[in-house]
Amino acid sequence: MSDMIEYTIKRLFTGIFVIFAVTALLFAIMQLMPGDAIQLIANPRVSPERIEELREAWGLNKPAYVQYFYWLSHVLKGDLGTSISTGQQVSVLIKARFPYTMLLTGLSLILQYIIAVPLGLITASNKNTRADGIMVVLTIILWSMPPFWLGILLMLVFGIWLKVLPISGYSGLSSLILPLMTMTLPSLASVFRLARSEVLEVLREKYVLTAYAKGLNRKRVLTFHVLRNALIPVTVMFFLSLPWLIGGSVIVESVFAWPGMGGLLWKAISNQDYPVVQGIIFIIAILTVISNILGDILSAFLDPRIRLEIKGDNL
Amino acid sequence: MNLLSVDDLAITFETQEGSVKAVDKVSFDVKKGEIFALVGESGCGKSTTALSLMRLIPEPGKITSGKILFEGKDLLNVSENEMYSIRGKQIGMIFQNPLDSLNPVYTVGQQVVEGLLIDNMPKQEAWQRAIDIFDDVKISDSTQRVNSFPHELSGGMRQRVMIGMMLSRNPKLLIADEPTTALDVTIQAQILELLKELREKYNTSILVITHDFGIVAEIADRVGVMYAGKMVEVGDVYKIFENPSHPYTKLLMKALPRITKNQGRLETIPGNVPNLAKPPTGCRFHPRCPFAIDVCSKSQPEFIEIEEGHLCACHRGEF
Repeated sequence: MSDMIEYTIKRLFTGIFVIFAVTALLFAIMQLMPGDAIQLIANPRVSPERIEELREAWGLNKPAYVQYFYWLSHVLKGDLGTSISTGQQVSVLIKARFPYTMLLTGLSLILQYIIAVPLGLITASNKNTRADGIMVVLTIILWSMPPFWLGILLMLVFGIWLKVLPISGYSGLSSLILPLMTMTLPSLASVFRLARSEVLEVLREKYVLTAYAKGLNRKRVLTFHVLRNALIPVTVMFFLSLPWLIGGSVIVESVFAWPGMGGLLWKAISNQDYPVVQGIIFIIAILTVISNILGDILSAFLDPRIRLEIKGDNL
Repeated sequence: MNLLSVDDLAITFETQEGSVKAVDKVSFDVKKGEIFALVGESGCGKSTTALSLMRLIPEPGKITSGKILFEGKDLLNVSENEMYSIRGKQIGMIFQNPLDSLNPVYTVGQQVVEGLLIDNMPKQEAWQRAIDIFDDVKISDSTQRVNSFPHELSGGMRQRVMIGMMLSRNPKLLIADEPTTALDVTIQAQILELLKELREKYNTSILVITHDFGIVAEIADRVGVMYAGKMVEVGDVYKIFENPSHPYTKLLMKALPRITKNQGRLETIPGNVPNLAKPPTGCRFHPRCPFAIDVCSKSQPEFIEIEEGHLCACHRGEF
């Protein structure tokens, strides 16, 4: 157990470096973009002197590394800064968007795994039947659809032809259905394919044969021996997709004008509103690091061989 | 009395190259309390035969004809549900590589207990039984070892766990598919010794699958030699070692590495195992057989009795 704690602390330390590396890199990329936020928001008739004054006020005329450290020192004090284009606190902006993203991506993630994992187990253990074949083809189709295209298609069918669902913005829970479908279907297909291929791989293992030879029935072998082992990589994948729970899907949220973080990020990037971009990416980076650590700890919990490796690493 | 009686068993694999007759009309018996060995090169169908006794041959293998009589009941006619009560309880099986035969995410104790719980044994009793079984298969520190994961044990230990696990429900027959192949020589000898001992203690018949005549000599009472999906010679171990009658058996014995007075080269059998999608006509061994005559490529030899309890399928078996 103490091995586990030591391992977690080590991982947290490297995680902190990762987070700062990500924000520094992002800052550099934002600098490379031509123009800046002031140019984009200012009316063309605003005098160059006034623009210069605004730059001065936002600190945009200072060298990039000074700007970065300025941002960093405020973050360490718990202040994510102020949006250049709206003048609002970044934390306020994020707080307003957060519940919508949580609703959409959280529900999507839950649906994906609740549907895809059992389906993967069932189809893999009935390999080469017609149902399995249909699922494989169907998921290839779903998987290869670009989300924006699927979103527009769903809008067209349900919003414009059938006129049963709202296509844009948020006006009650019915607005949730189309973005939820757009987000869930392709990912569900990929989780399904992972679960199915993992189950197929485990089914070829010798210990499955041993389990049958011991006299266990199919149900017991599938749930106790096969599923348990196949779940290890599926769990890791689940944790790797967790950061998007907060970050939101930029594409899906933009297509449906969903008032979440993904849409906010998209708008901030096009406005070169770097405090907002930095703020959101900073949060996503933190979540990525935390989810990775959580995923590793949980997979160590599920697989004693990984526990052994962790122990070995610490010696 | 025969515990197991395999009669004209045929197993076919449907592959893209056509149907492969992996096992072709194989018959043999295992008597109560005896150790019977099936010997042959890799790919001769011995492991497939073993798995078919448990009705566990992998896709796309199919048993196309024959009978597997276990205590008089044909296992090819029972339902899958009934097979659940036969596997483990009546027939146990251990495999070649103990490394991947145990589930890596459960302790070895859990895996032994799991089998015992099928018989509705109370949990506590099952754990005690698992510890006792570990003592029986000579795992030291059995009370601690039950809580080990497979990767924490050595190969020999894991094979002991497998043997214990499969004997824990007192099956009447234990199938051991290359039980020592993945282990080093000293451990091999210990495992074979253990199997012999356990046969006495549990009164279990054992069917050993091996490619090694050394193991046959060590452990078996009777032996069946397989070549390319066919049984070519069956008999008591002493009789076959004294008087090997099929040319294949003779050559296999010559290919056994041993220290002789004239330290010559190790003999090998020229040629390769035939492609079973297109087996040779007549006797399947004739293309590699130094004694082959015309008739060998034309008709399949029938079993003839060389002496009492010793059968050989060879046109020139009188040699």
